[in-house]
Amino acid sequence: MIRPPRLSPPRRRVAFSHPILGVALWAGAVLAGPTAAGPPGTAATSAPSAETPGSIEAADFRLEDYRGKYVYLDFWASWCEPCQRSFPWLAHLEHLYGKSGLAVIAVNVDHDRKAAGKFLDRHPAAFPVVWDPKGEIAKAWNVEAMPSGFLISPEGEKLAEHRGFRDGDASAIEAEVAAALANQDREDSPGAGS
Amino acid sequence: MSAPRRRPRSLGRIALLALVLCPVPVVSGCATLGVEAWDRDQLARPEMKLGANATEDAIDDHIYFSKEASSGGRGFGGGGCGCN
Amino acid sequence: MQLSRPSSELRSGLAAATVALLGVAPAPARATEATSSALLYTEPNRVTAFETRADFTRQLSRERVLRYSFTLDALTGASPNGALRAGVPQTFTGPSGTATYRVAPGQTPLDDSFHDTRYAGSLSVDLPVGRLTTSTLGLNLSTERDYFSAGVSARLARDLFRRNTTIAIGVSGSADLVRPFGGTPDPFGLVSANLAEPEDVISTGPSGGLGRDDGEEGEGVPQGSEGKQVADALFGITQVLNRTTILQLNYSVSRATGYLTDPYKLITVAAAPGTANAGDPLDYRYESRPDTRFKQSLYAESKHSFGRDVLDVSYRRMWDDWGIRSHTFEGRYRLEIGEHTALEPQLRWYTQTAADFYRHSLIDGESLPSFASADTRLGAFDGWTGAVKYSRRLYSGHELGVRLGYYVQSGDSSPPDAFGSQVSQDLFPRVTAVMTQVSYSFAF
Repeated sequence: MIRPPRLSPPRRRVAFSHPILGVALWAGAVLAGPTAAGPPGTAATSAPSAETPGSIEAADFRLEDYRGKYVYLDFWASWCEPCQRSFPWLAHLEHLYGKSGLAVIAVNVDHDRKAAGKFLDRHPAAFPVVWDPKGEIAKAWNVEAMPSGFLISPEGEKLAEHRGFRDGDASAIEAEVAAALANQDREDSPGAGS
Repeated sequence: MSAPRRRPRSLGRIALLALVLCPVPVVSGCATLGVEAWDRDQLARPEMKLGANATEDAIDDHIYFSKEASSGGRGFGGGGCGCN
Repeated sequence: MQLSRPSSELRSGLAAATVALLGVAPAPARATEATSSALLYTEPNRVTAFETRADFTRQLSRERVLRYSFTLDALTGASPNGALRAGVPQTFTGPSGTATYRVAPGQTPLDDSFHDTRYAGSLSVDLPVGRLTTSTLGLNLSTERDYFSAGVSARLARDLFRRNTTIAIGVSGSADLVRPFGGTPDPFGLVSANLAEPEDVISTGPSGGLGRDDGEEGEGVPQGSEGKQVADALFGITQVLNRTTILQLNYSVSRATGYLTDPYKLITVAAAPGTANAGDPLDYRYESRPDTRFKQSLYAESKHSFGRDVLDVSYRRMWDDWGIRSHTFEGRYRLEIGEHTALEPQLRWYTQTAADFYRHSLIDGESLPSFASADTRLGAFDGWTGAVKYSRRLYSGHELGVRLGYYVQSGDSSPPDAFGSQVSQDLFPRVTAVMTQVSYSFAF
């Protein structure tokens, strides 16, 4: 399999200790960040089935593989306390809408994969998990809070961003997803019955 | 009246100056100091919380308050995993 | 390195089955976290204090947090009564007016009638205001036989720059009631004057204190009780410097008004220089402190992780309008040993200057100063604390900690203004204390 280029320039740790360089790179990242069309990528050489959960390395992950489906892209980590609540809820979301055209993908940003593994032992994932230890995908999506969830349209456009996971967020996101899927149904079959 | 203590005064002044100057990069470059939201694994550790030993510290503070003339100064939270 | 996950399909199957069975999203568990700690502080041949405290934190719905705590502390043993060590025997009567104690020459006068238990509690709630702002409201109460305190506090904290910076502002106020055993003494009240003329002793209370004013009938203030009010404000910034370092800076002010004197402390009135027994105690007066105190402090703390270890250093500078200036340096290094154990050596160095009105004794025949206190707590001294804490993580969330520490406080044993027989006495005996502390944190 041809190794696709990185989704974003490698993060420079020095940015955080050198103010001027930091401001320049920070500005660059903001400008080069996700546009309405979503993060850049190359064409898929083979599309892993979105129905089979499994784990994917960041370098092998391509959002284009999920074109045609709504995607809920969630960024989580073992050290993130609200993720203990959002993760079981993601399984619930997948259960509700997985067969109706929603793909749930959980991107893990742990530096230590063992810690992520322990978390998954306690909260099993019924959806694909992407390993992003260097935070490349997180940076491409300009993640500002943990956890963060992005609702992406079948065309690859970012429809909504949810920062954090608080009381009430679960039902709000479910309603959002339901509305998006209902819209899609209407577009697919205008004028047809239920 | 006891003799003025010079050593602690100058030592204190240097420490104070160093710590007061620390916020200068904070004020001028707050946006660039810090970490990304996904890089807070170390900060999320309970040992790295600023109030990690709050109960013990509170007891200590009360003992020192009974033996010394100073009290308080310790603050509140901040830091941590930065979640939500 | 790809983690081989042969059981991922099984795991996903289990997850799907669980969710199907439940039918709804699992409700979040609301755990209460608790930390309790008990400390035994012992100064050989002096005071022994036992303090225990439990803090509880409970997550409520809508990101609110409830915190409550209980504290109990008991004091026994002997504390200095403020009188100076002398080369002659001294006799005192305790504040309750009944117990008399003799002090041998060359011994620090200690009053061992301080047996009291203090009960305290606090309650606070975090109320989020939007995603990045939190307001906190708190209440504290504390009571012991001769002291009652009630206070409220409010704080606002705001996160900035992807939560790398937190700024906070807090205010608090408390109203205290002091009810000294034996009533409130007159400032600079002479102890012996009342011994010599017993018919002048006002003994309306059960204690019948010597030289103490139990209050006039008909006044609004209850007999022998005084008020004290304290108002504090705090401004702070917490800044994440990098992935492994966090820094906090606080500036706080405190203003206390009312009865700030220690009602049990005496000052020796010494025979004037040039007299036959210069420096010897002739009499004692009750101390008198100003009725206002304005303190300011600057505090800085930094935590840095070195791999799994954590270094915590802090510095506090305090200065007030009583002339006291202090520095506190504290450093701790938590060394992680294996998966479940940690060893943390701790070092603290404290130094303070004396209050403007601090005197080790008054001189017979001299006019009285506006204020004076011989309480060594207001004197100039250095304090060192060395401690080691051993902690062990037991199982899911429980942690046990055991800490052993040693505190040494040393001041000027031969102050330059000592005169006569005082010169041969140790006027600031070294205080040493052993601290043993056990802590336990758990969740339920």
